[in-house]
Amino acid sequence: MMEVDAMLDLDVHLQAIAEGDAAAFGRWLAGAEPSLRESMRSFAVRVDVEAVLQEALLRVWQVAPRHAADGRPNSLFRVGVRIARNLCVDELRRARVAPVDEEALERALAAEEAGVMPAGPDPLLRRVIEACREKLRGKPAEVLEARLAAGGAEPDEVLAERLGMRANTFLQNFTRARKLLAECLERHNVDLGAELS
Amino acid sequence: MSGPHEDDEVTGQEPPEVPGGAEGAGAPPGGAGGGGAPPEGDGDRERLIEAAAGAFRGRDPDGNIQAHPAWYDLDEAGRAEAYERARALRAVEAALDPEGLSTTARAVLARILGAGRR
Repeated sequence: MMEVDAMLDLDVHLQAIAEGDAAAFGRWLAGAEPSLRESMRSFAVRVDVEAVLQEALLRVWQVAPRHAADGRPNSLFRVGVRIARNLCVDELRRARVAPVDEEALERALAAEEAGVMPAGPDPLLRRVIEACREKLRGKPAEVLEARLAAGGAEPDEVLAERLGMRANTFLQNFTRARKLLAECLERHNVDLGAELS
Repeated sequence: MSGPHEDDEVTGQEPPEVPGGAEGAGAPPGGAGGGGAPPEGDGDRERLIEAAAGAFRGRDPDGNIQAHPAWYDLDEAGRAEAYERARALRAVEAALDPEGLSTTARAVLARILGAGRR
């Protein structure tokens, strides 16, 4: 797979975000989200990372006007990592699902925080994925397009009804779309294909 | 890649509905838990993972983002799989988006634009 190692400094968007520029926050999100999600990997079996991540990102937006950069790159991203971590720990404590070894957790999070930083997009990877998407046909193409168009703002049940499907049929078609995409990406030697399959 | 029957809707016997409504039915935000009961069969499990890997999350009456109902029905291995699948899907979504935004990022921006800054 094509990896991009060049680290971004997402603080270039900080001033505009602090002034309430949602488009600037979108550019920050595009760079920060994958690494923030990665930083929560160790919580994934105990916490719904998608829900906590979205809450953390909303809180980053809310605290940004009061955030003072510390002179190191990606200061707002590091704030986001801490917010996400604290939300995860709160969830574990509240649910009392397992004893939390605070020191071990701190060490793990510090290591993840240090090792996970935003990286730039890969234009070649984008072209391969787009080419594979264009090969999808029929219902699998429809359900993938429906989820993309909804932008995470509508449940699958609503999307399924709009397409005249039952929710489970929608999910079956989505699985089919995902596997077809994965096969196509694997043929192009994109590692993401294996992760998607 | 595309076979002659690509246009056919996935058919066959309709499986039981996956729990996954718009709102979390009283579930705690984020949804920490020790791992729900494993679903009945591989088909059910697969649909639960597919549902939980999506980006939509409902809200409780106070506006808190809720864990996906399907996530509660997955065991730990299923939750780990849902996480990995979501990670890969978000990368694909961002690659297909003109602004490089995944459906997670789109959902967050929609909430920001709808609510402003508290």
